[in-house]
Amino acid sequence: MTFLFEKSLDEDINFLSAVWSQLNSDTANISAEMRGEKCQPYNPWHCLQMASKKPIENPLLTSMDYEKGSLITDPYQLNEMQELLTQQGKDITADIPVPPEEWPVMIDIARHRPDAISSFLEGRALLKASPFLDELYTNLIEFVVPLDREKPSGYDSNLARGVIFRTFPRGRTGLLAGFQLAHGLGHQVGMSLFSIDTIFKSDPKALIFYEVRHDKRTANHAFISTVALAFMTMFSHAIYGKGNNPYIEDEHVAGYAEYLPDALDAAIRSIEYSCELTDFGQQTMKGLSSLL
Amino acid sequence: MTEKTKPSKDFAKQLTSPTLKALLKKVDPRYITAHSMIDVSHAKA
Repeated sequence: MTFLFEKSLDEDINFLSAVWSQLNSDTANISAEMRGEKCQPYNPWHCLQMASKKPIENPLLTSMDYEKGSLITDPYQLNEMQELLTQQGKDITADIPVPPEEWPVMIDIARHRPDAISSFLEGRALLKASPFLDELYTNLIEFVVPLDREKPSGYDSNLARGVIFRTFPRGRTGLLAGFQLAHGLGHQVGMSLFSIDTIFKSDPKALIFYEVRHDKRTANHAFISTVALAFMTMFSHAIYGKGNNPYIEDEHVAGYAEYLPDALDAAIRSIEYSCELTDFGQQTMKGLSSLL
Repeated sequence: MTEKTKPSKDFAKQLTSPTLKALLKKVDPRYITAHSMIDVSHAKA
């Protein structure tokens, strides 16, 4: 049977959704206390506000109106986000290995990139092929922010829980967008697990060899990457069937391994070889292995 | 965001696993936001 944590994927959905409900509600409360204001419904920028201990003054962001799970296309909102990312929110992109100015927010997506919007919609529709990913996306993801970069990439931060920042390069298909959304959702879920358990008994900041990329990264980075790969694998299984080795031309997906579950297997091996895990960490690894 | 767009189901009540119920009680947002972790997919692709 396939599961991530215990019993079944349905139980996992309830667990993760309950964790996020609690996290979001607590974050909104702490953020409101900090501002000395009445608690508002959760907004991802509350995380940044709480971490930086500095209120975000922009009402277009603090009272942001959006459809849950949607791609943000309003140029005014996107412009304010770009401003935020270069000022108070620069910690969100602090660790990315390329200069943040190389992938700014795509402010003019509505006017100039209808293809990117279509790619997002196609990707979101494809995600429905997996009831697990579809329900988790519906429950957890607040919105997607388009980035302006002609390479498939993106980032996700616990300073903006529920936001997926992604590029939608020209000529790429909705299939790539689906993989990108699954990947971003996996990052977000992986990061959120650290709010309930340390996952590692060994040092989570120790650099370990990550076989998938043949690089060295911290143990917790490897863990979050592994959850993202697991979600991509689930997406692939939902579209093509488990056990099939689909032909996927896009190098963003094919770049991991000829067969995606092999990359997941390598990621799990990297962690199990180098790290000592808590009981919950071990249970999660067992669950991730059940996807292979 | 309007309330109608938020998930309304009480997910905690749907849980049957005692282990997961116990883990739910450990949720603390301060830990996760203090932990400035960013992950990147194919940044150099």
